[in-house]
Amino acid sequence: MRKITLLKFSFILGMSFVVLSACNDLLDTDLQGTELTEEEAIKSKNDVLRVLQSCYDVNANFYNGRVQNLGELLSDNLEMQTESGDYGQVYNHNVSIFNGAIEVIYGEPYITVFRANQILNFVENFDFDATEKARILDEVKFLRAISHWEVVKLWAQPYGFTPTNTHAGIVYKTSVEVEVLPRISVAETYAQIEQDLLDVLNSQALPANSGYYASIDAVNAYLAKLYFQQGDYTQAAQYAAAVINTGTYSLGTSVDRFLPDTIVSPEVIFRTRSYSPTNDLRNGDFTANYGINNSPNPEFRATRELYDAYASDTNDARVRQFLEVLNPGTPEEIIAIRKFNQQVFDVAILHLTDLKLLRAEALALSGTDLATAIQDVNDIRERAYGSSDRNLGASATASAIVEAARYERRIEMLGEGDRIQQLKRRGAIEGEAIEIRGDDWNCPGMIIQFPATSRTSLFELNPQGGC
Amino acid sequence: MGKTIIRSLSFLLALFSIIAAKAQEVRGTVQDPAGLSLPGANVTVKGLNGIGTVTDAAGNFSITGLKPGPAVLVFTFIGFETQEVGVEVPESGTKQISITMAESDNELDEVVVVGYGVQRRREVTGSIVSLSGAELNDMPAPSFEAAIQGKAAGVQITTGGGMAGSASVVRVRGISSIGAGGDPLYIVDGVQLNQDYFAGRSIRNADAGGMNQNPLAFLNPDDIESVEILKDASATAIYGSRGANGVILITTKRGSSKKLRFNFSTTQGISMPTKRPEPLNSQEWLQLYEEAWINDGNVGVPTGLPGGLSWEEAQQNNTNWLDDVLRTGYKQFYDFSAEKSGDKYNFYAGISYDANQSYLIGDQYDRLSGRFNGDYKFSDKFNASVSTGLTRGVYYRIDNGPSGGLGAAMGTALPIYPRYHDEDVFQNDTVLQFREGDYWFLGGSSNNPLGFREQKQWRNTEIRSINNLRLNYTPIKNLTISSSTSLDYSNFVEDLFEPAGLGTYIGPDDVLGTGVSKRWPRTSRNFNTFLTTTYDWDASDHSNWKFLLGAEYQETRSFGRQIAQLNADSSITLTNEVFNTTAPFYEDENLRDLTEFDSIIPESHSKFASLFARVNYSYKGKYLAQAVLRTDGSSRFGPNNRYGFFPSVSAGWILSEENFLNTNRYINYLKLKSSIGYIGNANLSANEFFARYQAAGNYDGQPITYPVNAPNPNLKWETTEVFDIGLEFGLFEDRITGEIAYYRKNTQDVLMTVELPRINGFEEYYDNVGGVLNYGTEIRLSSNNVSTSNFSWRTDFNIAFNRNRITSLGGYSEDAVAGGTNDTRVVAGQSVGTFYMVPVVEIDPDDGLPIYATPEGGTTKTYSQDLRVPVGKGIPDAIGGFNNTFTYKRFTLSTLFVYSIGVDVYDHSGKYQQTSWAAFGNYWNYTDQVFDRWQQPGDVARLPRLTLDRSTLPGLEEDFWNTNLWVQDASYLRLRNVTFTYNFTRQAAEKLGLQNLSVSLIGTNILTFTRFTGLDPEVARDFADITDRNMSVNTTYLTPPQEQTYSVRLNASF
Repeated sequence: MRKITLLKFSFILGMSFVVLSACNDLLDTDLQGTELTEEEAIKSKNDVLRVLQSCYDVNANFYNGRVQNLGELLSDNLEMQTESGDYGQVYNHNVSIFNGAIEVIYGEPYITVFRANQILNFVENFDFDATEKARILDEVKFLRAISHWEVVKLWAQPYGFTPTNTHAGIVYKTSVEVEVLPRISVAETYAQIEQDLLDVLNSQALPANSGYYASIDAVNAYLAKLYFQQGDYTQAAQYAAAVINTGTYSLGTSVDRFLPDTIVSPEVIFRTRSYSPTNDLRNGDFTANYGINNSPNPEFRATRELYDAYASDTNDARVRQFLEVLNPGTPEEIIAIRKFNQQVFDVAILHLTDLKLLRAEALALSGTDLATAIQDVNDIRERAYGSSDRNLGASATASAIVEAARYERRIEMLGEGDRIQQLKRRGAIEGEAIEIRGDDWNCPGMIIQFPATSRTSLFELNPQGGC
Repeated sequence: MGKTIIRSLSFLLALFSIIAAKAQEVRGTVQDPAGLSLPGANVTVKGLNGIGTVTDAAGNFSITGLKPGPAVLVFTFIGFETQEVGVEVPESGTKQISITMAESDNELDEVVVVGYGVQRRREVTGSIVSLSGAELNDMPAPSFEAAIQGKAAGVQITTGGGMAGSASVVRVRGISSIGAGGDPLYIVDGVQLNQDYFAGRSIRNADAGGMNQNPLAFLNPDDIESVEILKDASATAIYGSRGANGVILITTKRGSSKKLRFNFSTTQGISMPTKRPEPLNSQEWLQLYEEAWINDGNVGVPTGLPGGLSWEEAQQNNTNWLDDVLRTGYKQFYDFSAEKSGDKYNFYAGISYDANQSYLIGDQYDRLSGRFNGDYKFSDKFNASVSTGLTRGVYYRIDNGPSGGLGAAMGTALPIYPRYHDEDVFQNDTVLQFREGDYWFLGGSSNNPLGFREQKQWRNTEIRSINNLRLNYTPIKNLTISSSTSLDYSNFVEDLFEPAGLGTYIGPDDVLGTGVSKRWPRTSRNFNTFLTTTYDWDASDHSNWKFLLGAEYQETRSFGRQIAQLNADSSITLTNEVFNTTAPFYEDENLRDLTEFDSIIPESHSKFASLFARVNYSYKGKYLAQAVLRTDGSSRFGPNNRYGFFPSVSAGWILSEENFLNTNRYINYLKLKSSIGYIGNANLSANEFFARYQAAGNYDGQPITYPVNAPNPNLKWETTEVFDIGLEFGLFEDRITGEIAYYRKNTQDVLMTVELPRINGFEEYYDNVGGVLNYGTEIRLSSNNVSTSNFSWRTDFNIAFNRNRITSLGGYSEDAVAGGTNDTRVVAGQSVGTFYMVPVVEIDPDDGLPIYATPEGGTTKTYSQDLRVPVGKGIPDAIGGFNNTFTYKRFTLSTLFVYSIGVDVYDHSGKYQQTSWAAFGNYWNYTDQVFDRWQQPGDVARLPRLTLDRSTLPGLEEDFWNTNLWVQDASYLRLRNVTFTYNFTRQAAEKLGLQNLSVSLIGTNILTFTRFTGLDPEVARDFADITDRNMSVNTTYLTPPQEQTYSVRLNASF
């Protein structure tokens, strides 16, 4: 009797468990809010393209002034009204691991990278033709490369910081897996960026130019900047020339490149879009910090040193358009930067001015084709001064060209986050004794600290402690 | 052949003797002391194995087959004394007897509610604490769980602050969870409660106003018959993936009086804080400001005061904001019930009203609740039970903690700020900006707690109903099939009205007429049904088996509602706000009529499907064994781990039944028991195991689709291996009883809501990677010290030692998991929620700057987050309580002390209250600890020099100055409850037309002994999310102190 009862009990129990385990559908549930499952969200080729579009969306948020502002705050271009808060830490060259703004800014390019890597998986599931597929893959690599590029420039010491560039770079993410990964070296990081960009060039599936999206010209421009930062001036000049020589872009007459989406600046190669029909603004961090009408004053303003370096030339359109002394002669006197003093504008990321000045300096530093270098500088100066009065002479020396290119670059690209990279390059590659507001170019605080959440058993943060 | 004949003859003889014996019969009725029939009582004949019966629904029994002559009948029933009755069995006749069984005082015969059934305490092999309803309503508390504190060994109750609707944090044998809910499973009359501490306006935004929702406050404590707390694997494995943090079974009252009986009780009381804050006055504050000003190298009259105040204006003000936020709260509670128990039916029906006003002006929780519990017996084989409760809870809310109110009065509402403008204020001398009498908001809107509260209207209203229908069918003897169907329904509405102005609350009265009305309706439905079959099998005289087989299904769904507004461009905006209104929704009928919350937003949806089984075996009543197996499938688990199996085995040995002990003079009861099992915690966020997407928004005018989470298909329950060994004892004829237990809970696959390294593209990731170990010892002792006819004295004592240690972080760093905005972290080798900060060695007597310890053993004056180490913990080494009950004639006095040993409190707001610069844009008032500060060279002080410029402290680049200066020992001993009761004599009660009458005077939180210098050493602040709730107990951020209450309670029945 006992055996029978126990046997029955065990049998019923066992069968019940088997039956239950087969009922997976029983446990299906609804999603929260308006969320979709992957099956619902990615049903067609168009859905894949919508994910690709979302990469540009994040990219536009990243470039809305945030990443540019980090560079400017590290440099000698800006002063701050309060010198406190999250940006104040950047300005003071001592970023905490608990800096909320930094955590967001650092995270955004990796959001783009995740989505880009995910698209690599999606593409195989739909019947894109070869052309479509090649273009998508090229856009993915382009977005992945430029995202990492912006991170490595700010969160790692520059190329040339160590002779072999084996110092810590960043994580170059190529999969969608949640991973705990170590930092790779700066050399490896640059190599990966280069490889992705070269792959795109080799594929040639992108359009020659595009404006808001990936293009061959944009890839060439990024490669020029990449090599320039590495001190490979020959290649830098070559890739810059590859864009300049297309003839697609011209400097135009205006020094202002930050224009509403309804106006096309002829020199812009790649930009993000503020879409005016829906008031979709992608220039928020510029406006919030530079706005000349901000109350009580704009948070960011130019350093006196910058102003004094340029203000004496009253013919300089850039000084007239970009700088304004507020409350002159009073204790509240500040030098406001008007360059971003609009409500809505597209953010120019790559432009001809940058490439011309880059090529000029690269050619001069490599001692080749000084004539082209001189012409590049003079093109910029003629637009700025409205005449050839400030042009370099045809016999200008390489060092004079370099000096001129750097002079023009600083004022032309004020606020674009470029200055700090040039100073670091000069310190790391050219061996100059660069000090930035009293701090050495290579002190720990001159790079941004990673968020605390980055630290894992494999990932080491940057040294803490400022400069 | 011969043997066959003998067997046949024997059979015939036996048959004959039975037929002959059937001529005799003993019949009777069994009832309880109240005269109610006792169905199900066992009736056996002593010395005659196999002859016996059980009483029917009317308590009747009949035994035949007895030989004429003397016989002894043995009556047994759980909860009653076993009774032996001698009868003279008449030849060929019927003997009629009537038995009244006495209720058992022996707690070993008490019935203990266990999962899906009951057991006699003697037969329990698990670790279970039982509390009667009377023990839960001996003090006014925000809700019933707060009254458990100190009464159950190993159960830590940290009561929320003094707000009327605040929730307690309950931990059973430590905390095993980090990213999954660490609270026990609550079950009311078989209904698994939907307990969401973060309900409110929306998910992840439920700590608004300085508090979390209390999902248990709906239950009227006077409706509770008993509470059982299941602690070990043996007891909780039957709840499988939801049992790892303990299970609390709540049984509500049912009709128990043969006559219709009415019960009435009321409590009237007052509330005040256990400790009144003592912020500085205006003169003191300005002196410290000036000191900081001078320390920074400034001279002359200080400038830069907040709110645009000049030094002279500030000196003229001296506002004590405490007067605007504190009061003596008044509490009133009424409960009325009726009950009756008949042969076929019983019922209990009650209604109660609780107006629970705290000591904070404007803070009140009102609860109107009704309950009906009934049972009906259709036949001896079939009966039905219904349990239903309906509650309307209205919480009149105010801001507190970081949001304002008392928090502001202790912090950022400075004494130099006036309450009102004392004259008209014009902008540019022409435009009237403020009028005389307008609230002065120039220091920040919430920094005028009076004006902020008066202009803002805030109310939470919840309709909650718990319903259960149970059907029991007994087709054959000892086999019962039961079905239970339950619905836990909640309709929760949060309402806000914020008047508009220049800034949210700033402006003259004439613009305050319009504002924004906000409403967040939220509905949740929790459907639960199970089917069980139980079978009792007496395999032999000594061998008893009990089988339980069950299946269960639970589905929980919640959703919010929003207003769908059509925009000019034909797009639709979903919102919970209506602008240009003059009143909140609950006051404006037109607003309600014109506004449709017609868009349903699903918030959560989860399912469980389970099978379970339990086998109990008892041999000779002294060798006990139990095996439990449950399998849970859940929608919360990833596809790779959809089903979990949770087994446990346990055994008990009643040594006192053995020959070598049963004659012992000192030990009358001794039971050794042990269990081991694997139980789970499935309190996970839903839908984290698969990729979720949003198809919303545009870039460059083109639509976008994007992923919103990092899916983890391997997501699953946490698994805790629980070992428990215990010794129950009764000494000196149960004059001393108690239990000693040791447990070890090793939790693996601990879910961590990891702050993901951003390289992965997302902020959070749900991952089963952690390990947590809890182990400890519990001691419970009860002693009847004196027991005479007029005087008795009983002592109940318990203490629980617990060690908690994180054994694994799965490769993540200490900062991967943080307790909200608090500075609690996960550190391998340390307890959950370690305070992880920079240690200050001393304040340099020469310059007043802090000197920090470095991890390498050195010191530095430069602050850096790299210096952080564990500096304290919020989990106590030991907790417990002791209660003394003195009874003299009809007077009873009970005093309950509770204590917590070896625990720290992190005074999160203290770092702003004790420093002098404007942190996050606000200057703060100080606590009196600021007087122990460095002022001049040579001073040996606890706090550094005052400064208005944070950067004068080297390395301090942010206002998060996280040091051990703000961590203090918070061990305490607290006189939690004193109750003095007078029970009127029956005669005196009858003169008033009553059956029973008693009056009690009750005081709670009367005395606290602690070295903690803050407001209250017992802290459960407003938590940001589940992880914060697990990690940041004993972190305070302007948290209101506990209530001290004095009450009168009256109980009457008639």
